[in-house]
Amino acid sequence: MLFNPDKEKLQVKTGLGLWRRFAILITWVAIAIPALTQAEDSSVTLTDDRGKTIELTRPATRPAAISTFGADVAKALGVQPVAITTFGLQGAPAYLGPSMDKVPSLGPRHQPNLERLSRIAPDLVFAIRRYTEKDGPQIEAIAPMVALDLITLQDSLNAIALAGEALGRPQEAKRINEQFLARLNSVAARSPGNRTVAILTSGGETPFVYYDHFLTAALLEQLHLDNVGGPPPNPDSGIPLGYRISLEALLTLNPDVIFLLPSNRQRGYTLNPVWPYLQAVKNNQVFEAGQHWKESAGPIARSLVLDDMERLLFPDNARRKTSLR
Amino acid sequence: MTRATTETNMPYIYGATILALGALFLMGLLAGRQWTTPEALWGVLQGQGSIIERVSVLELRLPRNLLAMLGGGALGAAGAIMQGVTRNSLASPGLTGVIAAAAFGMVGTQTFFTPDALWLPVISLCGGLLGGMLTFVIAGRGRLQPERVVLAGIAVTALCTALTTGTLLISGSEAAELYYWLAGSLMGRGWLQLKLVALWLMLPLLAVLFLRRPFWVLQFDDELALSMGLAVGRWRMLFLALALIMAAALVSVTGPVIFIGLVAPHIARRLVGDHFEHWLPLSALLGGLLLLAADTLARQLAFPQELPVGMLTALIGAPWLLYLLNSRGPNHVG
Amino acid sequence: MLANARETHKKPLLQRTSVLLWFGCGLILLTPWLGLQFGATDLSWQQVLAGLLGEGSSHVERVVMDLRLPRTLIGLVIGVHFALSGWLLQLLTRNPLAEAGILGISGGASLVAVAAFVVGDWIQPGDNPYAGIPFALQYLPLLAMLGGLLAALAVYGLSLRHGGLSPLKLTLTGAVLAGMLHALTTGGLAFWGHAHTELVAQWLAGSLYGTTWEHLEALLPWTVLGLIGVVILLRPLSAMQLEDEHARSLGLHLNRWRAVALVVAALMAASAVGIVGPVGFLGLLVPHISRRLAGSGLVVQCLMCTALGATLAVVADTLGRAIFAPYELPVGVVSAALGVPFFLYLLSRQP
Repeated sequence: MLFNPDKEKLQVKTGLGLWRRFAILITWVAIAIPALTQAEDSSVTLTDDRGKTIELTRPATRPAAISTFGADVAKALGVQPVAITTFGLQGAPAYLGPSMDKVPSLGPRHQPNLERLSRIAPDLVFAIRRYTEKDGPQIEAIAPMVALDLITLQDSLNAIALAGEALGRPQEAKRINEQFLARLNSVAARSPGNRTVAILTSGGETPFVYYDHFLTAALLEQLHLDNVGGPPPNPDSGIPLGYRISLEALLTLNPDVIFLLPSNRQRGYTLNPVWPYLQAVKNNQVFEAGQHWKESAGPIARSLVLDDMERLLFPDNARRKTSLR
Repeated sequence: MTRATTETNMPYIYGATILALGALFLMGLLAGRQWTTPEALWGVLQGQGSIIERVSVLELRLPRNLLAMLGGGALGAAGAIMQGVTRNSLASPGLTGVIAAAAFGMVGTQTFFTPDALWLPVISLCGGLLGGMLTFVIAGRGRLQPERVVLAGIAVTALCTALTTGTLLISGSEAAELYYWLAGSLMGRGWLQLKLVALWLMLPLLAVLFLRRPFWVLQFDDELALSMGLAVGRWRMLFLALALIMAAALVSVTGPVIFIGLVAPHIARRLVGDHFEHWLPLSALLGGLLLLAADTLARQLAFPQELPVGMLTALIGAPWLLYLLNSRGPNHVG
Repeated sequence: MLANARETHKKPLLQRTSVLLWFGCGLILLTPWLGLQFGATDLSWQQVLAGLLGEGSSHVERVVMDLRLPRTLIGLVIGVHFALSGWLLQLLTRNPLAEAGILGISGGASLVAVAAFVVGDWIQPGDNPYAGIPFALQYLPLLAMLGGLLAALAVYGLSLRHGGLSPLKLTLTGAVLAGMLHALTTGGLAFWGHAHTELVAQWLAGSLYGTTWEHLEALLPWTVLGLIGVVILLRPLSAMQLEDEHARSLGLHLNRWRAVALVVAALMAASAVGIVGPVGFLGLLVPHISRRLAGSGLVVQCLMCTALGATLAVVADTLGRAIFAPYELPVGVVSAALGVPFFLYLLSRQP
């Protein structure tokens, strides 16, 4: 695609013998044809969620992740990231395992350390779009960057396919997506459904509930569970992700199952006298989900979330481990 | 006009305030996602009605109304105390750095530790006391000159706000949470929070209502007060400490709610005219009224979400104050 | 009214103007090196030099030329902005604690900035969800400046109403307005900020993170304008320090010059706020130190302010990005933390 005929080889000296010329021509063709096809193969053109086209001369081997997703997808595709951002003060996400502990940290995702990024000099950066609007140009001065939305299920599928292209493993990425969808469908087919759920986050007095389009909520919807957060007001933009729901409204919606996303503070709303009156609390259907529920677009996080859900729906015959508590 | 207020008017003023408070309280009980009808409310109070209705009214709206009333009352009283004791019509929990310092204490602690809810009022108190002390030490040197108190308070507020913002940046994913808290809101507060701060609010409030006479004497010149047999310095410190406790305790559960402590005493002062001894109780009542009104409004304006009540109190309070500053001319600020 | 008029008659700590000038020059020369030398990655001074001359590796050149140099220069410039603006405001209000934040100027800028993010979301709700953010980021400096100026004018207008303009009333009006604007900013961010909270919060803390040459270009015209304004104001300012009657008897239109001074101060503060967010303590602290070092001469004070403001901003920023790397503390927070002990000391020394 970006094939530039190698200049040195074109500058064939004139005045050589016919045979030699012929031999050189043959050699040239022999070199050029594979080079041509190889160049066609190895250069990568990506279009990220900003609609921006990113061209790589060859697939990335040293990706940096300014998002948990980047680290997740790289690991799933068998590439070790060269730098990752940490989540708050907790460091690298634990669910990705100890292999991430040695990877240098860039600091928080909304303010990655540009000097470190420059020293590490990755050949591609996976970033969350809404956190890199300001420093995006500076990151791109260091390395090509793909900025991803990472909010909905479709975002996740697209992003993984894109990452597959970028890392030179498109088939694997395709397979990961297909397997995931197949599994999602098979769980959905067996799902009894008919339950309402809420995904709550916050460490304060007022919970924040996610809309239907948020990936984990969308997965629950796919499994025929009804997310009480409801449809987002502007589905095109995907923002806001949810809203602060008053306990009174939560009581009226009264979900059967509640998932609590991690918080490092004591959750004020669970101490409210209303809490015990909720259906989910009465029936012991409140679960603490792991960090991977918050940024679940990556292949590993995504399938861990599905593990959790499967376990929840079929408590008897589920084989898988779950992080739900 | 206000000067014409006579002793016989006071019962009417109290009566009207209490009536308004009662009406708002009732409305606060009825208003919600689905308005409860008065009949249904009656049923709920007698132990009938659906679970949702019962829980909504008794576990959510009732404690929240009480907290708004008590908290507003405490803020109003705290404002009146600060204004009276420092003889400075702009002294208030917000403008003396108490609220900002208490908020910084809360945000700082919750970013780095996970304190038990029980300790929150204490943490907030420590922050508020430190901030208040810093302000008064800076302004201090014996006599608390009005402008110096406010100027020092503003500086302390600026410092605490800068430090709070910095801490928020470090706290990463919790930042949105803490920001929400910093906007000041009664959302989701209930019996638990009320129990947590009730004593911290009620004891000082009762104390200052009981100590109306020394407070009244403190309004006069130091010399005059001294000649009336009052240990001015000690009483002043005591009153300020009580005001600080009330303001800081409230911050621990609602987040910073400013301007109530400034506006309520001003309205009260206009209403009571020459009857200074009624100023403090009326400030407390009006404070409760204002916060209850602002909270009820905040619950309804942006359904199904809620506006932060601190925004509303600022929107109501600041223009009023600016008007006040203008109408009285520069020489009367002291 | 308050102490500063008297304070300026105290004996300056550094007596001779030439000593002061050398001191200032030394600071101005030393600080850029500090900003270039230290950061999240270690570079030797030879590497820094090579980077400056365009002979380093691509990493060194990126760090020196694209990250540290623009950041350091912007640090210098915003330091001057905040310090001079605070100095003007303190002279104007005769209040040693005045600065852009306390008078509502930063508050106006912040509120407009948050509003820009919120409105940006509303303007572009269609198929391009993020169109609003670049919009907000691009126009942030301009919008924030507009907000700051509006707030300054509001403070001026509201304090003017009945007859004269008393410095105390100016301060109090500013404080009330600042309180309201702060509450509205926090409330707006909490209620509508959602996904942008971290982005806006970073700006609200006053941070030099992510500043580029373009930011410097956007800032410099205002620096030049502000400096010209300060030079023009020097003479009226010295008259303004007198009692109102005296100043009037000198044939000075007091209110007019106060308005000019306020506008210049607001311009300098608000343009800097637009680029890096509110950095409060520089404007509060630097004029104090300058007065102590330089004594009552306004020209020397002004020069001292320029040198110290620039120095302190760069030092605070360098510390902020070197100490906790890869995390960064914003310059607003570091300068506040550095400022507290100084501030307490200065206040305790006041009569």
